[in-house]
Amino acid sequence: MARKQKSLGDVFTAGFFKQNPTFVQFLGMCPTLAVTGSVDSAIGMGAGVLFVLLFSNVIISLIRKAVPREVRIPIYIVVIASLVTILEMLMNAYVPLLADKLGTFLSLIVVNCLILGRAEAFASKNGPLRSALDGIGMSLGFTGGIVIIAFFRELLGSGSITFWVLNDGTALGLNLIPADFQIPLLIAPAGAFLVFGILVAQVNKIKFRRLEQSEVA
Amino acid sequence: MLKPIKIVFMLTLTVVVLSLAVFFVEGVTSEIIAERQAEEIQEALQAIFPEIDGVSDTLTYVTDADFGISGITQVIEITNGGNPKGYVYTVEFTGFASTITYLMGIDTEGTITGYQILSQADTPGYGGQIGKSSNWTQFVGMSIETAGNGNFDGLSGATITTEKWKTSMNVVYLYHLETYGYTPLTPEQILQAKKDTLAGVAVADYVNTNPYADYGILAIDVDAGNTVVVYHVEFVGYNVADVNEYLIAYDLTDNTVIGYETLYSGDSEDFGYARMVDPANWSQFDGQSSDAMLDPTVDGFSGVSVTGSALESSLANVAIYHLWEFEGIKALTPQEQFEAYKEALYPSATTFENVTAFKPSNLLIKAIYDAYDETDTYLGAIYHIVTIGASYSGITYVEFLIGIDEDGDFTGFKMVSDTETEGRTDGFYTDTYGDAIVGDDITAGVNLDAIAGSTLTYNRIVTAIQQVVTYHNDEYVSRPDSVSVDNAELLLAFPSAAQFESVYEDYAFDNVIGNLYEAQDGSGTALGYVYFGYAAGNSGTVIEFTWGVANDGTTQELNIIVDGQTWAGAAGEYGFYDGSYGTVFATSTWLDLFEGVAIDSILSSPIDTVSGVTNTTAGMITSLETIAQYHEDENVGGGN
Repeated sequence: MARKQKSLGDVFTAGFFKQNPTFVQFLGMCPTLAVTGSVDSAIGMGAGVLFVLLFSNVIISLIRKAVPREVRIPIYIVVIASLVTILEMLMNAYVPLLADKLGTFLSLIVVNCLILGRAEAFASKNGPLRSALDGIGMSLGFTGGIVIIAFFRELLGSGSITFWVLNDGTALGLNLIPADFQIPLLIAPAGAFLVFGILVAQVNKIKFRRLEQSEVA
Repeated sequence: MLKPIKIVFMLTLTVVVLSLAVFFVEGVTSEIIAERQAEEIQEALQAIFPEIDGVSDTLTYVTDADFGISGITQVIEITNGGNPKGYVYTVEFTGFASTITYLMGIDTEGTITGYQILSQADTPGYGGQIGKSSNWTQFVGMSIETAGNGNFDGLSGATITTEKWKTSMNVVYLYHLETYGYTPLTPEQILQAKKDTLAGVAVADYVNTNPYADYGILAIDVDAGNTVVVYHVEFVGYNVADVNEYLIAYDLTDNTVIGYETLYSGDSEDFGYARMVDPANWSQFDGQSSDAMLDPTVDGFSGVSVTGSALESSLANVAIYHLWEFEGIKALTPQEQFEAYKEALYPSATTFENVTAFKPSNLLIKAIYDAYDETDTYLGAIYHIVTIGASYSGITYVEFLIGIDEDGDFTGFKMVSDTETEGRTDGFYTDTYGDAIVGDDITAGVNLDAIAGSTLTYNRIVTAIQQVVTYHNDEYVSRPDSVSVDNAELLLAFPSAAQFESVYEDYAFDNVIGNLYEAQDGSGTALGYVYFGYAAGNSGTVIEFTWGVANDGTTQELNIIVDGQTWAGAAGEYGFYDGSYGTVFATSTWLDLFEGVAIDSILSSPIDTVSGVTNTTAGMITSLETIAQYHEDENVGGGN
C-alpha cells in the first residue's frame, strides 16, 4: 500500500467529530430533519442505522474483491435494501411502536447517503474489521448528531425528554416545561432546520478555532 | 470474454443470497407480526366498544354500503343473537395536512363508547394534536348527537383541522341516524346506569328494614350478593327553593365508602353548584368508614359553607342510617339527639312547643321551647342558646340548651355542638355535666364545673347563661295576664250567682280562655264556674263570650259579649226568614244547644255547624269543645 493507513482507533473515532456525518459531512439529512422531533425516535433511528451500516460495511468489505467495478453500485444497493427490509421486519415484530413512529423513514434508510457513502468511500477499499469499526463509529456519530438535535427540539418544542417508549405505550422520560412555555414551531419541520443550522454554526465555530490553534502552533 | 459473465454471475449471486436471507427473516418474523396486528385490531375494537364479547357477539363488516361523502370506510355491526349491540365506524377525513383516520364505537342508545385516531400526519403541535388520546377521551359517554353537532373540544391553534373534524363527525352522525337510528336512555335508565357504575356491579331496589325517609334518603339499591349498597340522597343547600341530589355507595363487607357522585345541584351556579358538580370533590370520601362518615369533613367547599355543611350533615345522616340498617347500631341523628336533650331536661314532658316567635328576640337565644306534661301542664322553658366560643384565630360557636322550670330553677344544661378546637370541649358533653345546676335557683348563680383546658369556653357559656337568666326574669312571661270581665257579663252566664272570683291562676293557661271565674253565692260558696272565652269568627273576627258551668257539670247560659258576625246567611232551622228566630248571631237559638246540658255531652255528642254560617259556628264549636275538654282535664272545681 502506497498510502499510509490510518490506525484502527482513528478509523473508529473519525465519525465522532472530525468527519461527523451529521454536522460535518451533511450525510443523511432526510432522517436528520424528519425523525428528530423526539429523542426516542432519534435513538431508534440511530440504532437502525447502526444495524444497517455495520452489516452493509462488513458484507461489502467481504465481497469487495469479487464485485466487478461496473456493477458495484447496484450490488451495494441490493445489499443495503435487503438489510433494511430485514431490519424493518425485525422492528415490526419486536419494537412495533418505534417502527410505527419511524414509519417511512425506516424504509428510507435505503437511500440514506451515509450508508451508500461509507460503502463506496470506505468499505470497498478496506478490510472487514476496519469497515466494521468505521460502520460503528460513523453510526454512533450520526446517532449522537441526531440525538443532540432531537434533544433541543423536543425539550423546547414539547417540553419533555423521552428516552424510550415501551411496547405498551409507557414513555420513559421527563416532562420539564409546561405547555404554556413550549415552542411548537421547533417540532414542526421548519424547526428542524433552525435547530440544525444553529448547531452546525456551533460545530463550525469549534472546528475553525481548532484550525486556527493548529496554525498558530 | 469472461467479464460480462462474471458481472451477471455476481449480480445473480448477490440477489439470490440476500433474497434467501430476507426469506429466512420473514419466516421468523411474519407470524409475530401477523399475531400482533390481529391483537392490535382486537385491542382497538375492545377499546372502542368495551362491551364487545369475543365469543358470543357476531361482527358484520360492512365496507360496500353507500357511504356517500361521509368518509366512512367501514362499519362493523355488532350483534348478539340477532339483536343489535353497537356499531364501530372507521372514518377518514382530510385535515389540514394529512388524511386522518379514526375509529368510533356507538351503542344502541346513541352513546359513544370509544374513540381512537388510527393514523394522522398533521403538523405536530397543531393539527397533529388530534393524535393525542387526551383529545379523544371527551367522547366516551357523549351522545352521538352532541358530538355530531360539534359540541366537543377542538384543537387549539388548528382551526382548519378542527373544522374538518367536526364536519366529519356531523356526517357520520347523520349517516348513523339515517341508517341505524338509536333510542336514547330514559332518565331512570341513566340513573340506574350511574348507580351500577358507582357500585361496580348491577344493583336493584333494596328491601329495607328501617324507614329511611327521615334521613333524606330517596332510594336504596343493593347488588344481588349484598356486597354493595348505593344510597340516592337529597338535601337542601344554600338555595332553599331547590335540592341537591347525590349517590353514595358503601361496601357492605367492610362498611367503607367506595364512591360518591353528585346527580343534581339546584344551588347557585358559581357557588354551591360548581362545588357539587366538580368531580374533584367526589373522591374525597372513598375508603372512609361509616363511623368516620358520622362526622365527615367535606373539602373543596370554601366560600359555600352553607351548602358544604348541609352536605356534611346529609352524609352524616346516611352514615347513621347505614349503621342502623346494616351494622345494627342505632345512632341518633342530630335532630333526634336534640330531641333527646330536650327530654333529658324535662323527663316528664310530653310536648315541647316552640314559642320563640311569641317571645321578645334576643341575640343569644336561637329558640325557646315550652315543656308540657301529658295533662298539658306547663313545666318550664328550654332555651336554645348560641354564643361565641373561645378561638382567637376565628369566630367559633358554642350551642347548648338550658332548662328553667316554672319555679325558676335550672333543670339542666346540655351541650349541643361547638366549633371549638377538637377535643377541648369533650368534658361539656358528658351526660352528668349539667347535673351540678339541676334544681338551683336561677338567681343564685351558675354552678357549673369549669373544664380544664377550656376555661375560656366555660366562661363564655356561664356569661351567656347569666344573660339568659336576666332575659328569663325580665322578658319571658310565663302566661298572659288574665283578662278581667265585667260582673254584668259574668252574671249573664251564671244568673244564680251573687259574686265572682278569678281562679284562672290555679289552672293551666289555654289560648281560648281569657279568664276563669268561680261563681259564688252570697256567702262565698262556689256554685260553679264562668269561662271567659274566645272563638274564631268569620273572616278573622274574634267572638268573645262568657259561659257558665255549675258544680255538677251542667252548663248555664252562653252569653255573647262581642259578636261582629253576620247571621243573615244562616239557613234551615236557624235561619231568620221564617220570622220565628233571631236574625243576629247573639240571639240565635243555635246557642241554646250549649245551655243546660252536661258539659261532657258537648264532647261526646258534638253539635253540628249551621250551613251558610259554617265559619262562625265551627269556630264557636271548636272553642267550646276546647273549654269542655279543659274543664275535664284541669279538673276545674274538683271534677264532677
